[in-house]
Amino acid sequence: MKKFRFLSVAALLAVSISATAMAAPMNIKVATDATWPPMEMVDTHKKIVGFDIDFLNAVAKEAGFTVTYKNTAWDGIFAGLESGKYDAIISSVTITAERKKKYDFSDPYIQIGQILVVPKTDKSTVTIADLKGKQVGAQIGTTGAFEVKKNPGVELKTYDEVGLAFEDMASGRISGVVCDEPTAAHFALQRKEYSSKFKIVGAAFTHEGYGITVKKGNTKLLALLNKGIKAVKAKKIDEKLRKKWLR
Amino acid sequence: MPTDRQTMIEIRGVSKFFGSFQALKDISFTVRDGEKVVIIGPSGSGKSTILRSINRLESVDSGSIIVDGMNVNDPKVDICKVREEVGMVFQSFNLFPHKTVLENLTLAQTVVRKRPLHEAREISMALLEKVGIAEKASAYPAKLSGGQQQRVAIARSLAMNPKVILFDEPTSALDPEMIGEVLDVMKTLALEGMTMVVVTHEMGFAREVADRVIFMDHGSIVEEGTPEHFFTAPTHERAKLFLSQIL
Amino acid sequence: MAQTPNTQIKIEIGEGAAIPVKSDAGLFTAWRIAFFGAILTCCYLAFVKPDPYLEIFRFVPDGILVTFKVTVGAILLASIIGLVAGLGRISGNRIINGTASLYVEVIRGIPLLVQIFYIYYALGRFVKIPDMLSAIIAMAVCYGAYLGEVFRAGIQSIPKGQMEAALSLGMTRGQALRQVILPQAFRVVLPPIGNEFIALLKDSSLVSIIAVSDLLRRGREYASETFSYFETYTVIALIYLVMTLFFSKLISLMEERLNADR
Repeated sequence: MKKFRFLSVAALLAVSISATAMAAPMNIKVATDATWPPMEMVDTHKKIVGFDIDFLNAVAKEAGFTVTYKNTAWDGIFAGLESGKYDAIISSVTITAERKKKYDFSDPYIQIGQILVVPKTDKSTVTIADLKGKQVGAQIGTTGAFEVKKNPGVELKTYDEVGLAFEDMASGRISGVVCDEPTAAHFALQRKEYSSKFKIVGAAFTHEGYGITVKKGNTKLLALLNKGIKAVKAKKIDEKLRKKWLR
Repeated sequence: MPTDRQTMIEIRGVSKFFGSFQALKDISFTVRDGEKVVIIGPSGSGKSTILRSINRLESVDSGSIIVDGMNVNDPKVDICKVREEVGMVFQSFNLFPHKTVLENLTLAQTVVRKRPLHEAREISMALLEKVGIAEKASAYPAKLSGGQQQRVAIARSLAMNPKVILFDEPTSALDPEMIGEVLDVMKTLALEGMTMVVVTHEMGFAREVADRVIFMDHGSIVEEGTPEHFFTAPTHERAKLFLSQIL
Repeated sequence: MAQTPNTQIKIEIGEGAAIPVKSDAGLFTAWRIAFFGAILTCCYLAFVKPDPYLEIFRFVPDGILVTFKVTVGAILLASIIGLVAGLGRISGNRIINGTASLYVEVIRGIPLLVQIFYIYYALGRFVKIPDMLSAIIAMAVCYGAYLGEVFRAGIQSIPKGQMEAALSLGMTRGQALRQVILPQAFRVVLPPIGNEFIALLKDSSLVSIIAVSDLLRRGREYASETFSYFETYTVIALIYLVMTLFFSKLISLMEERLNADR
């Protein structure tokens, strides 16, 4: 009896110790612009979901930290990181040389390309260059917008959210939208109201790696993230998430 | 007065209410062509209201007002046609402050009478000459004294060649030294045979110019007759009292 | 003299930038300091640190033009809408009056940003309106309601005797309004309209939300590409400031000229 009581006390102690140990993991604040389905979006329960979210949750689990998400408008998401409003960004951020000058990136966690979406009625367009003299939409500050700009004679129209660009194309104001392949697939193929109107033309014309963005010099967090990404990839969790979100 | 003259204004059984207050009680009188009728009475007696009913600046609730053969309150009658024939001079002059003296005179001639501008100008200058104020033709009303403004107002209504002119206390807003110049103009008009209905407190003017004096009190006509009769032997107590107060 | 309305009535609406008046010496100096200070700061920044400031100044001019076009287009259209609404609000006809009042109430109850979204995207499903035009329409529909109230107050500030005098000369109500009432009311409403114009210029930055490439949107595009947020928004703020101060001066000069004959 006595022994048993001792044991139970010990068990209780052990539980409480491990509980404090559980509370200890570092919590990092991560910004995401949840208007970029299927990578990051808000579901009908107002929850932020998507490939990036599932992926980072898996990374956190592997590396032993917790994540708080902060839905942030894309236009200004980097400014918020600089001013310390959050520790990292996971928001389909393509690792570019320009961005690398200003911020640090984790190892790329997925490879993706930009692709062009046009109305189904457009039979001739294959590349952005074919839309000379017309307006092509993209989300402000995205690689899609930068790609459109590379085509002289094509007028870039920037939007706060990529969904607004698709809506504008639906009402006939612009002739094309450039965005990430999964997002294009989501809007042009899966959305009922758009699937009859839009089509994806050609193949992805860029090859980009997405990375988790941190403030320049935040090596500690970077190491933690890379460790988690490595583990997730080793366990092929990313393959599963690809199937779940990107099909 | 010769009775064979044509009737210019015929007022029969006119009553008017402001809410539950009866401003006019069964008023009837006629004004013949060329006649000068002066309406006097204490303030609130309804004298201005009946005057303003003649060109329908006030509507009446019952009775009829016929001006130059037109029923003023008949919806089928174009009230503008009535007003073209009925000039009006107000206590507060009501010149158009954004127009010069000359423009004040030409405006309605060109807009309503459709006279060519040069013709309207000639007529206007002649009238300004007549009221003794031609040198102010290009001045704005704000630069004129009250007496000058009222003379311009009289000229403005004359410019429309009205068949009758209504005067609503034309000298009440004037400084005493300016009353004479306005009354002189009115006397000239009277001598020229203009049909005039004048609401005034100027008993001297009434005595000198009026063919007939109408005394009103509490919305009713109390006494009506020649100036000699009215000023020397009024029959009614209220008329006697009013005269004793005002003379 | 007694019936000159403009000296007695002053409609104060405090949304826009303060319009400098000569008699108000303090404000006049403040205007000078702000206006020339902003211009000098712009020049200084472009000269001393051409990267990125000069780059930004090169990037945004077409945005300034768009902001200018939207503002001028909207104020013209809003004046027309406002005049109709203002006349409707004083109309004796119950249906016209009710419609005008309903318009003013509804519009003033909806945030401009929501209206812009609504006209652009919601109505875009039924009618195709070019982006610049829909920005102008959205701004004009909103500001028309405010200007309607300004016009109403302006018309009502003209003494009743003016209408009576015009009518007694045989003019129709329409002629009296056009020839007598509105020209006078215009002088009364010019200062508050000038105020609304400045407010509209500032609010025009909201149209950047519907992908109209105005000054703010050009700035945002530049910043999102180069990450020079601080520098870009400094420039954007300075340009807006110079524009509003410039227009407020212009409006005060117009007022002086209009009142020169009195």
